[in-house]
Amino acid sequence: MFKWLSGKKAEETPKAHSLDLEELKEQLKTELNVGTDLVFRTMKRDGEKLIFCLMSSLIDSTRLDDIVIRSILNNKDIEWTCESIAKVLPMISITAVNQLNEVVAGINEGKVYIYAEGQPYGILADVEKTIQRGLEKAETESLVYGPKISFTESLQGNMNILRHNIKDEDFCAEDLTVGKRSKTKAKLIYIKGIADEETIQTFRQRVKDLDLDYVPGTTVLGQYIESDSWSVFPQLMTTELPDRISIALYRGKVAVLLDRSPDCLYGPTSFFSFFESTEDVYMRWNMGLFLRMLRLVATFFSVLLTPAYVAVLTYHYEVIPSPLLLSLGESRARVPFPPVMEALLLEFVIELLREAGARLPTKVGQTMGIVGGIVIGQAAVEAGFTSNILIIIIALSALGSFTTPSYLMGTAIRIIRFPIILMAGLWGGIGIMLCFCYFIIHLLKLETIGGPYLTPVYPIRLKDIGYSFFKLPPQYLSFRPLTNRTDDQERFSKKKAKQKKDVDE
Amino acid sequence: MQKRRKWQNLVIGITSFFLLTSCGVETKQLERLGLITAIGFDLKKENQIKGTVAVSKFDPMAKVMTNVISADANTLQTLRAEENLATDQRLEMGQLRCVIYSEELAEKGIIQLVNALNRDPTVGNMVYLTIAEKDAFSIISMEEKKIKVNIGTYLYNLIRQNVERELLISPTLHEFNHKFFDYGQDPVLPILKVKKDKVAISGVALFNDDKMVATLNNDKLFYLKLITDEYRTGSKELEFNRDEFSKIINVQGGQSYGEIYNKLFISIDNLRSNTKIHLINKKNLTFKVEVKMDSRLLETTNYLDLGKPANMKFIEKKINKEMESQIKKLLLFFQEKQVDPVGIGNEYMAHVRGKPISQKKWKELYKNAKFDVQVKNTLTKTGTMD
Repeated sequence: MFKWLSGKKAEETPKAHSLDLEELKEQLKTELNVGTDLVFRTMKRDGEKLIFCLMSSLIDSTRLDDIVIRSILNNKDIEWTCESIAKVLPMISITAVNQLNEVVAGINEGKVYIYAEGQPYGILADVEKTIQRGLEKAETESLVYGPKISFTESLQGNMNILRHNIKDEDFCAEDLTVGKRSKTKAKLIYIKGIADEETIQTFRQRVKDLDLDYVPGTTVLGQYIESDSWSVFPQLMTTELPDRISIALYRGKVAVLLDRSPDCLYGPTSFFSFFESTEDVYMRWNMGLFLRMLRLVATFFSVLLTPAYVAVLTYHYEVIPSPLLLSLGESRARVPFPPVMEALLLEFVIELLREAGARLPTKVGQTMGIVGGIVIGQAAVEAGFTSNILIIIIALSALGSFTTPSYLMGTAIRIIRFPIILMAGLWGGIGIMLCFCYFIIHLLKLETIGGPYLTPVYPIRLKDIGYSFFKLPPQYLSFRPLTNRTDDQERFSKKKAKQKKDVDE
Repeated sequence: MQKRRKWQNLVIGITSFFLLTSCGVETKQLERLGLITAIGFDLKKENQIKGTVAVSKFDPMAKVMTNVISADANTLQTLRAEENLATDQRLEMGQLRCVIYSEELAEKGIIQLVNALNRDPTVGNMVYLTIAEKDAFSIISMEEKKIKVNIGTYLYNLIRQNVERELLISPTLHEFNHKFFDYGQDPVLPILKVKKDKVAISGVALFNDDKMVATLNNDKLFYLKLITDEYRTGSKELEFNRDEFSKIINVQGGQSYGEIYNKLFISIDNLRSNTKIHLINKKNLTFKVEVKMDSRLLETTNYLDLGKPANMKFIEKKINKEMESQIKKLLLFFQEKQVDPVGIGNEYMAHVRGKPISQKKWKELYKNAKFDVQVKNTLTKTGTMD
């Protein structure tokens, strides 16, 4: 069972542990320097000695007492040998080992090592206790429509949820370990026959080749394996929704689950898939289309509205339409700063409010909104600190950035606004254009697990537009997204879907 | 190695951007500007013009104010410099909406003042050009209280809504330029008139080259627009001799209505028109002006029997005849004044091969041109009159 573990420690020369109990104790104590956490229990019967070695913080003591110790005590007539003990243990995962490093690793995993003195090898029995919280509603990706269940920190539990979603024989979950020291368990998940072999290989290799001591979670894992670490844009998506993963898997994507991490990492994810919510899938296509377009437009405005305000008020007064001219000029006349300063200041205040709201407990967080919205907003305008039109624009762009389903992408969008505002203050419309072009070129050059980031816009895949940019009526999506290069292209037969089943037939 | 090169490129790029633009471009912050919304030009004396500007400025204490500043100069540039000395805010032309030339100035030619606008990149192409019946100063210096908005916006809205209602030919800078530089067409600009503390449009000025030579009253405007442009939702009232209609006037219950007039007025609306001018004889220079329109009979001052198709045909014929004579009169008037706002010259030049003829030559030919007008009006509906 732990072949993969022993294989990793190739540099250590394997050696069998001492056959003497006292010596074994000493050996284990020197290997595992954990003090009283390491517990030994010795049993004696007619000069025979049996020892249980375990880590008390890792094991489930009721299981140990009820299953392991009781079954040994109850069967008084058995010999204390490895085979006979193994016979009476009503457990599925027991291993016979005698190498010291294997024993140490086993105890470290939450197993109990049962060894009868003088025997050539002992038994490792799994009595691990996993701390696991119950299933909860998704918090960061909240939904109105669709399943609410979210991943927890337990890999076993997460696999369980996913397995229940997908009962496909081709569902594959490869074991991986992440972290040279922490040895966190990970699973590479894909559906064989749908996911592209190359994508799977890229994922597998990038995760395997990581030479790190410890990876705290999937989001960090994503940062380590993505192609461009300098970019603000996340190139791989993490989600806490199992159904999002199952939808993605059937579109030919590959996912990585990490133990002790409540999100799942998956890819390849293009820029536009960050604007996709599972809700779009569950809703009727026209509603989904509307919401998706709304989000994209909101993002566009969020990025460009404030810079446009700055540029127009500092350089391009010609473009202001006459009805707006008076109200703009009037509110601006009271403000002592140039428009760039004004915009940066207010953006800063909004960012502060958001950050403060996110850090504080929910109850206090609500008060933050009131403080920010009413007190600062109203008072700043009254005091002639900012113009009221800018308040509207800033609020609009903040709202726009919050519509993005991915929190990472929302943050990226809020950040890229700042250089654009600065450039708008420096060169006006030319500055905005320059910055915007820079970001577009950057997006064009980015890649996600070897694939293009801006697909299906570039390289253009018109067929895929229904999957990412727009949403089409379900009967038109009979194929899997082309950009994922899936092995099995067809989701259902287009021809059959078009057939009308008449009453006569 | 490659990363370092990338960084070097970035540094070089950013520094050169800053150096080449000398750390930015000239700022024009909105609240520090005095925005000129309207300019009026008068002829002060020989070799000098008087320019008057309406300036919107934003004062933190007071509301938006409009200042009127006047100065004398020879060119627009010095005019602005002179005016800038009289205000605490920098004057800018970017929000210019309307330009007024006095009639006196227009009769002497306005092209050098129009060109000054063309050469200023901040001035838009959609600025309206107008002619003041007397002087431009009195229009610009209208009291803001009386018209409620600033004069630039007022004039802009005045002209725009009339253009949108299809009562006026659009007098933008762009169209003026186009018609001026076109040999075969002459520009037309509206005339503004101060009427009881209000500014109103009293007609249009007809130009020969850049000089105003004649005016056309509001009631003739319909025919000018009919043959130069097209109507989408126009309307027109026509005047007829009642006796001609006596056989189709419907006497209701022995009573006849509409006796307050001794004439018959018919008004048509929903007018959709399309005009084509053909050169039918190159030698004798004869043009055929063909007007096709669809309209709805909306109002008559007497009850007419509209039930019979023959009667409708009769009314159509009458309307056609009336319009034909009016259009013909108008064309002869243009010919007499040597102006060509319709673009007959363009039609001629489109059909003559060889070297393009000069404007002078065309005006010579224009004197002897003959016109054949044909109006084909279809009354598609009679409204709810029946």
